[in-house]
Amino acid sequence: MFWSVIAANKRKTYALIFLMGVFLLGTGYAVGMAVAVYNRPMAGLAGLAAAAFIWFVMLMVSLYGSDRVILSISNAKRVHRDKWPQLYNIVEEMKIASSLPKMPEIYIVEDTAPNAFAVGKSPEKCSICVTAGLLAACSRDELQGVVAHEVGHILNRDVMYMTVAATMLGSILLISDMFLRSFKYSPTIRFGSRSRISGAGGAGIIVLVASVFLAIVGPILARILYFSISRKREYLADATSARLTRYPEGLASALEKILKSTATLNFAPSATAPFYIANPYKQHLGGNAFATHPPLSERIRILRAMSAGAGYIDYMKAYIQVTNTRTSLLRASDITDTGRIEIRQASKASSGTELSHGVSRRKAGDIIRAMNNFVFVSCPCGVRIKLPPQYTGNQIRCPRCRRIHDIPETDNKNLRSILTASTALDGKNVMLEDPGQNMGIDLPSSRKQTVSLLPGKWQTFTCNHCGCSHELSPSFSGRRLTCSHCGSRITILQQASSN
Amino acid sequence: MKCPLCSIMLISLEFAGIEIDYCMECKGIWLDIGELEYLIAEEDGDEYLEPMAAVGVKGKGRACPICTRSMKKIHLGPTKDILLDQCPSHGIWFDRGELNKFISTGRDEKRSSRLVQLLDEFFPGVDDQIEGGE
Repeated sequence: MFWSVIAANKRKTYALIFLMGVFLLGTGYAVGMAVAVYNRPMAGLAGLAAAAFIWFVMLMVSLYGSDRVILSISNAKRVHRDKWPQLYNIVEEMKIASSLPKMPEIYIVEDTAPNAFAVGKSPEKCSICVTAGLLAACSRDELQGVVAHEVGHILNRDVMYMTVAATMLGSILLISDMFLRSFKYSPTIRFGSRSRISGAGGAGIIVLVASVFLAIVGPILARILYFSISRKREYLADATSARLTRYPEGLASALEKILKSTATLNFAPSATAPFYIANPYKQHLGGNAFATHPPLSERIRILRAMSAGAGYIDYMKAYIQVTNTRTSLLRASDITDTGRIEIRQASKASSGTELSHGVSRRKAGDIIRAMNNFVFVSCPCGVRIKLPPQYTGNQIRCPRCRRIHDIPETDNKNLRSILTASTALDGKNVMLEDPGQNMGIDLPSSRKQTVSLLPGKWQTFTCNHCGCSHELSPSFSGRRLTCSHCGSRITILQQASSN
Repeated sequence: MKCPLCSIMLISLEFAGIEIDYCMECKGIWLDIGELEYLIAEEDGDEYLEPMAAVGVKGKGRACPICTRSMKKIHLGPTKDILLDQCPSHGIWFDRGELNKFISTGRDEKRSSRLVQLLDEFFPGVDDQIEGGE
């Protein structure tokens, strides 16, 4: 636990609420004065009152409903254990490892870009969100690294501060936006004969200039204040992740995948940008004043430089070594567990396969479809048909081979099964993959057959027993078939690709 | 996603690592920008797949299945016979006949454009389908 960080975050939260209130009232007053046409003092007061009201509402929202607001504008959907058991297990593991008081809620964001964030006003009530793109691209170890990073943010109270700040910033943007709008569409300027500031003298001009200044510069200032905060805490959350998982490489390779991904998040309004594990806007904003995150490449280098162990001390050493700075991330008093923490081995479940961009994008798309109750039908010719829930009818004809398939009931209870589903086989009409129930029965040798499959080619063969012909697509990936006519067992040998 | 012509829901088809969206009614095909880039990236600057803006085409563009904004008319391939609809930020729509033409011109060119190959693989009997109908 980084007590000084936690205390600082709490302090900052209260200070921010206060400062935002002052700023908001000032903006409200200025806007009121500038928009006023007849009764200026009253309009100023009205602006003040409106700002106070908005501030109050925002305060209430940020304390009691901000997580819901942020989740809904980010297009996140809640998932339970049965939908994605692996993800649930990872979160549970990290919850236990970090001794969080309560299991965080898990959300999946319907987006193909890999990213993740956490929201919530306290460790008792918080949510962890990962995008479908992240789930599609990451192995178990990588996912664990990312989840542990988010848990780190929750522990350090970054999430509490960010959640309040996002709602508060939202209110400033709202007021300024309203002001700019009133200026643009004001009927007195558009249709009236007199200008807004005529007859008001110099004071009017000053008020107008000041309010324009507030309305334009205010949000920028707010953003600079708000964005500049999250740099150090990303390092700290990385350190927590390495400590909790005892496997820095997991997070490092997840960050690398995020870095390489070309997809950008669709549902990331600027107000929620700092939440994410990596800046959803990539690095095209330019200028360090706006940077919400330290460069990903640097974070990856630090994690990979942790060769001695997975403890906080090791992270701090790696940090100093990579960034070449003297200033440490933490005070020495913050690091309570100085014991040596061994780096663990990569878990077996992790496949080291690198998915190409196209594949992980499509997999992410499938997860989103499954979340939206699409039905998946696999045709033996190699085509996988994905039907929207709006599709009516009990049957579908494969556009490629013209086989007719019955449409199964939507059964997307376990979303992860979508990722592992093989491309072929469901075609009851022609061939079935041996579901296993025939395995025990010993068939005579005349009803067994072995077929070699050449990579990248269509394969046509006849069943030795009944003589019916079958064709297999190049994308067929099963090992065993049962001839649907006579029930003979056909073993498929996949030959390794020569290139 | 709705078909720009018939307004019914498109279904998605995945084959050999490529995904397209298909209209069961009019047999049109939507190719997402992501998939298109994936295919074109392998061509490496092939002019064949460089979309050209079609000039002098009148009428209102069809609605993009993703953003519903009206799409631009473009030419794709060596000749200007094929007129496709493209949404610059989301993808390309092939009408049924257009797809057929695109595949056959690709064949004539004797080029192994991956896009042509894919579409040919996807719908091997596309000519028969056009003539025979349903």
